[in-house]
Amino acid sequence: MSEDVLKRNNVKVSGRGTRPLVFAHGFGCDQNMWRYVAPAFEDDFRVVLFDYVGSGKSDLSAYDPQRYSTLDGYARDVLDICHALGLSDVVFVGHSVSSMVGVLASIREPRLFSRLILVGPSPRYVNDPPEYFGGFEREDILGLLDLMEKNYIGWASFLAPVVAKNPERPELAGELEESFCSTDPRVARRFAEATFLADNRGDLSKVRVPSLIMQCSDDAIAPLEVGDYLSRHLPGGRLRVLEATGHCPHMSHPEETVRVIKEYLKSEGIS
Amino acid sequence: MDELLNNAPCGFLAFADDGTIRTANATLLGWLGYAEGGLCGRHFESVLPPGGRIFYQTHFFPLLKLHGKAEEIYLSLRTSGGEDVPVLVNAARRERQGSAVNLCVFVPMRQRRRFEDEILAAKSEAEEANRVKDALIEELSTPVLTVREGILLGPVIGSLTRERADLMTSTLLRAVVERRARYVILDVTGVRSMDADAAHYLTRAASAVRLMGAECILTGIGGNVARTLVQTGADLSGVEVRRTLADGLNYAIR
Repeated sequence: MSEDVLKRNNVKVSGRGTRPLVFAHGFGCDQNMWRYVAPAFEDDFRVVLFDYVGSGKSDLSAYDPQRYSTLDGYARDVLDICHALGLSDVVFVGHSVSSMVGVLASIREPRLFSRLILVGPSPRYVNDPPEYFGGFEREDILGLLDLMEKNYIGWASFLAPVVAKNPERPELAGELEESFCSTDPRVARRFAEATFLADNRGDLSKVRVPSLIMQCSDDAIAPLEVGDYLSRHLPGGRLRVLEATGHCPHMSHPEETVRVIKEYLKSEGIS
Repeated sequence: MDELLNNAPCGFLAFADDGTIRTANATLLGWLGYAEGGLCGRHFESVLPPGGRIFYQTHFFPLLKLHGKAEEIYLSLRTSGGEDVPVLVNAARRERQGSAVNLCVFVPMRQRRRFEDEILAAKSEAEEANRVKDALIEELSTPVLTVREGILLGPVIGSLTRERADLMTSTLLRAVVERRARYVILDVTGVRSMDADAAHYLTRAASAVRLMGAECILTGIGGNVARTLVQTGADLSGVEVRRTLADGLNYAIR
């Protein structure tokens, strides 16, 4: 079983430390997103990278549409990996949607985690007036789904069968993989729906694990209001507004991202 | 900017990793309704509709950063007047004076987009038609016939999957009640071979029929099916077994 999980989720373990630091990628990409950040922790931590089932180089045959139609299915991936590696005292770093995945995993098994580091988190992307501003209207999310469908039309509908029929030409598969991290449009669409139509506001109060909320200063996907909401509703959540702009500070501003995570862990006596 | 590039028949724009637009050519500014220099210093996201901003952050920028290029990407650009222009983008990263700059070339795609919208619509129509067809085949593949007052016939043809067995069982049970059946003949003449699971489904269907107060008659068992039933130790007690459908009918009518 544990072997299966490690293969299923394309789990990569590195680093010379003992304390586990698990990096979880967001929607739209895979563990490669962490390549500018994760190496900075290899001296002091046991660094764990993985791809959710359906993303990156995970085992697509393990994809269960039912399980992955909600973020809970993704949280189970995280727990499966922690169990397969026998981890405890986990510092979990989740980008974007993985922040809420980490929140859900920590609610299921609080004792597994020591800290949650949430990069660009949002408990709900769609506005819920008058109380809640998430930054998007439902139509905006439908616009995203439409855009994804149009972008996957070439790759998935046309290229994927070509790749399948030409196993002797691995460069085709490489091209496909480089284009988007998930090669199946139905998987990507379901992940997008699970992510952007989710409402995890009700889960926040159940969190028992202390957390760092890393909020970018100008992020269209998780605006400042959302960071502010989280800092008021997430027990033990400490808000830190980054100088970094955009939604992917680990890619656009890796130095600051690394520094802020290290400062937080040090201040919490973990390093 | 080079005069030729400035007025080239494509939109051109360069932005830094933090999304700040460094420069845009006159063609693009014209399309989007901005004055000269009107996009400089603004964020790339400011010319995208909200859904496009998510796509930029979750797909476009990671792709560009990780692979140094992104090709044939669909985006919609939003004009200053709030209209959306569908475009195809090619982008590449270049190191310039020690920092990275992302260069993008845009080509409007109005006609082609309409065409692809139609393809997508046709694709979902085809998917829906397929679904209807599958449902119909499923329905047709589990018929329950009244051969005579109180006697039902359930011919099983092909392979017996779990879904099909479940469907067959519920159709049979409903028919037993509605048609006040006393006998149900399950004829497996059309089943060439059977695995352990299918044997299990079959005996389960037979037990369910019995529980509803009808007698179950199994007919048409071929060599392969008989072998599986024996090997799997299928419990056929309480089920009348007859060699052929005709024998089964005679038994029920007797």
